[in-house]
Amino acid sequence: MLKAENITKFYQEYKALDGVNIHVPPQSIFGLLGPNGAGKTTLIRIINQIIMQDKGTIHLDGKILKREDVEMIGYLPEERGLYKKMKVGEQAIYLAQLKGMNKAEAKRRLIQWMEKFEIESWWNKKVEDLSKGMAQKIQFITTVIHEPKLLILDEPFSGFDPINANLIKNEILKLRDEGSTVMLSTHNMKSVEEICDNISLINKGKVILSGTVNEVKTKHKENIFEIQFYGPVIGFANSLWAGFQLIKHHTNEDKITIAIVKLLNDNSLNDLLKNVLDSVKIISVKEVIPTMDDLFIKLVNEKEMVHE
Amino acid sequence: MSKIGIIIKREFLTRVKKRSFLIMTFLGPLLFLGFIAATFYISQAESKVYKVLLTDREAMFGKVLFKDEFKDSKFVKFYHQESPMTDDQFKASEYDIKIDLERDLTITSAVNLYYKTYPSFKIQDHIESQLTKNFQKLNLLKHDVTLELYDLLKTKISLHPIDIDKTGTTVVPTEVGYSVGLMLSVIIFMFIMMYGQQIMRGVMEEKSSRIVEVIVSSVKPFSLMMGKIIGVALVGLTQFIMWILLSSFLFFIAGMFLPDVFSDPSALMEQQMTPEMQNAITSELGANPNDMAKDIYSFIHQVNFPFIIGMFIFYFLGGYFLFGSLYAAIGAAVDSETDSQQFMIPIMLPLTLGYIIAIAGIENPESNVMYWGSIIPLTSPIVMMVKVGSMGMGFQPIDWSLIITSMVLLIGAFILSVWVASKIYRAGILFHGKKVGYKDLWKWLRHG
Repeated sequence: MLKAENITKFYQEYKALDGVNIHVPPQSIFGLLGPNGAGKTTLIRIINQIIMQDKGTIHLDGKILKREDVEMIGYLPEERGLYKKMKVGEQAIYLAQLKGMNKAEAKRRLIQWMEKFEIESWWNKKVEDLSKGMAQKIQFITTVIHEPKLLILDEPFSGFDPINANLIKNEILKLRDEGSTVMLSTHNMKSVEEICDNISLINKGKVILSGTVNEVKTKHKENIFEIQFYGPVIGFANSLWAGFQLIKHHTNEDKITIAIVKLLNDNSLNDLLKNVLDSVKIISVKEVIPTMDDLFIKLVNEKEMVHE
Repeated sequence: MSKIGIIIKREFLTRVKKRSFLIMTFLGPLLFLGFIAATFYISQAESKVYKVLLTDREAMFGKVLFKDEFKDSKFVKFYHQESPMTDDQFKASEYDIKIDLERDLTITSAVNLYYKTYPSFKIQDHIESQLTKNFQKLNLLKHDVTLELYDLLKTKISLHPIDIDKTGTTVVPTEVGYSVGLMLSVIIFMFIMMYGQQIMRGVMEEKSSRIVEVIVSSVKPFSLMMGKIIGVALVGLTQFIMWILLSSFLFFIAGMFLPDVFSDPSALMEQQMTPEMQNAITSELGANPNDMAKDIYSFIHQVNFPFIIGMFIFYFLGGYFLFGSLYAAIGAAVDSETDSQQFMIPIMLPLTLGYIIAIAGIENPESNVMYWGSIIPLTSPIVMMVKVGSMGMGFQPIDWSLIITSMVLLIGAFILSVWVASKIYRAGILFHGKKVGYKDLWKWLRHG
C-alpha cells in the first residue's frame, strides 16, 4: 500500500531523516515508533505532502505519490486543532470538501458518524464550547469522513479517557477490517501490541527495527525462561552450573518460587530442566518474550550508547 | 468548486456573517450621514437674529453715506444712531450687541463689542467683515480714491494652467483633480491597512489553533494563503460597495426631508461662507455663478471616468495583493500579535511614505519624488492615484509610458511578494515555540 524508500530530509544542516525505508502492507495497522525528535512527524508530513523530502521516493498503491493522492489520505496530527469560532457541522463539512468530497455526501456521512458516536446535538455548537475530549472526537470524524484508503494517525489516543480511547481503538480496527490501511505513530506501546500488525522503530532519523510485532519480539528474545517451582531456592541455584544465569527469583505466599533464568552458551531448555529436576518440583515453564516497551527502551538506549 | 474556491467561500462567509461586520457595514453610512446632519444642524444652530447697534458719535458713516452699506445677514441686523448709548441704556434696550465707532478706530484697528449673550464666531465674522469693508471705503474717500479705482486696485490675477495639447478644456483649479486623486490614495491606503491586518490575524488564528496542519494536508499552503487573501479582499469590496449603496440610499431619503443640504450641497456652502468668501471664489474662477455651473457641467463631461475607475481598481488590487501577501507571511511567522510588531515596519514604512509623497504631490505634482513614487511598486498604488486623478480629469495628458512602466513593475513586485510570502508562509505556519527574527525569515526563504 505505502512504500517509502530511502527518504532523506534536511532542515538546513540538520539531518532529520536519513535514508528511511518503510513498508506498510495494505489493510493492516502499521505502528511508527520512536522517541521524541526521532523524525516520525517529519516522515508523516512528507507522506502527507506538507513538506517535501530531499531524497527518496514514496509509492502509494504501487504508483509514485502525487499531489491529488492527498484525497486518499486521512491525517490526524498530534497537535489537534479546529477553528474555534466555527460550528461543528459546518467545520466538518468544510474539511471534507477540502478532501474532495461534495457537500451533500459530506453531510450524509457526517450525520452517520455523529449518530454512531451519539453526538448529533453538537452539530450547531461552536468548537470553543466543546471540551477537549469532545473536540478530539470531532477531529477523529473529520479525519475519517472521506473514507480514506490510508489513515495516518499521530498519537490517536492522547487526550481520550479510557472509555473513549477504547471506542477509537475499536473504530480503527473496524476501519482496517473494512479495507483501510492505518499508520499510527504513538508512544503507547501497550496499544501497539494490541492493534499493530507491523511496526518500524525510528531513532535519530534512521529505522532501527521493523517487521511484524511477533517477528520483532521473537527476534529479540534472549533465551530467558520463567520457571515456577516448589522447593528450596538454594538447591535450585546450586544445581545451575556455569551454563545458566539466575537473573532473579521471588517466592510468594504459596511457597511457589518464580525464577528467571537465562540460558548461556548453547544450552537448551531441556539441559536446564535436566539440571534442576532433582532439586525442585517444577510447576510451569515459559519463555520470556520481550514486551514492546522493553524493546523500545533497550534499542533506543543501545543506539544512544553506540552514539556516545 | 475548486479547493481554492471553497477556501475563498469560507473566508468570505465567516467574515461577513460576523456581527462586527454587519454593524460596521450598516452603521458606517449612518454615522457618516449623522456627521453631515450634525454639521448641518450645528450650522443652523443660530436660533435668534442679533440686533447690532452701531453708535457713530462723530457721524463718520452718516457723513459719507455708508450707513446703508452695512449688509444684514440672516442672523445679523444692523442699526445706526449717532448719539452714544450708556451701558445701562444698552442693557435696557432691545439690541443684543453694541459697538461704539470712534475716530481712533482708524489708528487702533480695533473696536469693542458689547454683548448680552456671546455671539457665535459666524456672527462675529459677519460683523467684522462688514466693519472692515466700510472702514476701507471710508479711508479711500479720505484719500480721494474713487471706488472704481479701488476695485481696479483690488484686481487679483489667478492662474489657469492649460495644457498646450488640450487648450480650452479646463476652468476648475487643478487642485480639484489632485484632491480627488488624493482621496482615492487614502481609500487604497486605508483598505490595505485594515484588510491586511485581517489577513494577518486570520493566518495567526489558523497557526495558533493548529488547524493549519490539517488544512495543508488537503490543499497546498499557497492555495490556503491565496484563498485567504482573495476572500478577505471580497469582504472589503463588499463592505465598500454596501457603503456606497447604503449612503446613496440614505442621502436620497434624507434629501426628501432636508432638501437644503442633501440635494444641494451648495446651500450649506453658502450658509457657511461670508459674501466676501463667495466673491473671492467667484473672482478667483473669473466667472459668475451661472458660468461656473456651466463650467462644472462641462468639466464633469471632460472627466475620463473609465480611465479613473480602471486605474483605481488596478492599483487597488495590485497594492492590496502586494501588501496582503506580506501581511500573510508575517502572520505565518509569528505566534502572537505582539511578536508581529517587529515585522510591521517594512510594511508601514512604504505605505506611510507613499501617503506623504501623495500629499506633497498636490503642491508639486511634477516633482521627481512624485515620478519615482509612482514608479516604485511599494509606493505606486498610493502615489499614482494623485497623478491618475489629474490625468483622468484632463489637467495633465495621460502619460501612458509612465503608467505602463508603473503597472508592469507593480505586477512584477506583486508576483515577487507572493512568491516570497508563500515561502515564508509555508515554513512559518508549522513553526512553533521559538520567537522568529529576520534571520529565520531569510533562512526559510533560502531553504524553503
